[in-house]
Amino acid sequence: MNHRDIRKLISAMVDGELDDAETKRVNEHMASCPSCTRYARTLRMVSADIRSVSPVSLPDTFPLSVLRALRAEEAESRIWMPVEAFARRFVVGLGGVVVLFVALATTIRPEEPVVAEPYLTGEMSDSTATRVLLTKEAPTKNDLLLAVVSPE
Amino acid sequence: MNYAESDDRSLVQAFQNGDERAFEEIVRRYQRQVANVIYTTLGNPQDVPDLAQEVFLKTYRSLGRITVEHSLFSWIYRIAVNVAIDELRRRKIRRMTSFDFSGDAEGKEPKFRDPVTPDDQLASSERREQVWKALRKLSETSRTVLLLREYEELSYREIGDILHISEQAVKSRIFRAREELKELLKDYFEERP
Repeated sequence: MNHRDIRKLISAMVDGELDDAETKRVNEHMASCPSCTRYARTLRMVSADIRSVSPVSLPDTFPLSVLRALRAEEAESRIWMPVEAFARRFVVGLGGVVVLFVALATTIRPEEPVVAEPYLTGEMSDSTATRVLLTKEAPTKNDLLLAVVSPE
Repeated sequence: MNYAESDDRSLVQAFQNGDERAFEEIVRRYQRQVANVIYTTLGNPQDVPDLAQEVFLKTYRSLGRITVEHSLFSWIYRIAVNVAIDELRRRKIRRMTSFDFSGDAEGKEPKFRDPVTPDDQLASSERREQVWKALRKLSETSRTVLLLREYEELSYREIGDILHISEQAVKSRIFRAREELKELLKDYFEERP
């Protein structure tokens, strides 16, 4: 048994938690070990010091003040109960509306007007350039220049 | 019903059946222990009444959930430890986020009983203050077992029942707590003849 084990037993002995055989063993060890004897004395001293801290005491009326606080708390919660219930319903309702709105917005989209681009539908453009170029069987360089500089 | 002579289980049962006087007796029975936990954690006697009240309000609200396997003392003790530690954390946060260096968060040191012998009054009083400070520096686990042992004077078996651990575990924890305390107090206790 090492020193640490003995000291663990000393700690229990200070608390009166050792049986006779263990107490005898510890006392025999301490008889030849001044360090462990000091250790036991230190533990007893610390124990006495801890116990010497004056205990705080609450007044005899403390239980009544707790009950008073409980009643005050209950009374307050009774006042706020209807408001709280309304607020809870309001939040739930609002949440429902938001969810509904989001659901509608994601599922129902307004139909976008289909813009038929003339060049996609194959319809002839009526720009000046087209008119100039299409009326010429063999457009000259000047026709091309005219088509380019002509306004729409 | 004789409330003062009823055991914890009967009181809890009466409370769960709507008897408020049973709760009043529960408060009366455990107010000292709750006050001690708060006092030793925060170190300021002025904090005790308000926080003790908070502990019992929480107990009142949670007592409906307590079952026969739970020890009432252990139940209340846990709430008290949590309330005290939460308050300590709040104060640390407040101290970190403000420029208040008045030292209020540390709490005032407690008054000590007069030493038995007047000769070593000064040394003894100083040592007790150091013991007190060291006690507050212990980990929660260590402080709890030590308080249950030193203040409540409970046996290892009783402490084990409260903390739901074996007697051997109590023995080890108390030993560890004392080792921690001894380390913190080595200037006062080491190598003294």
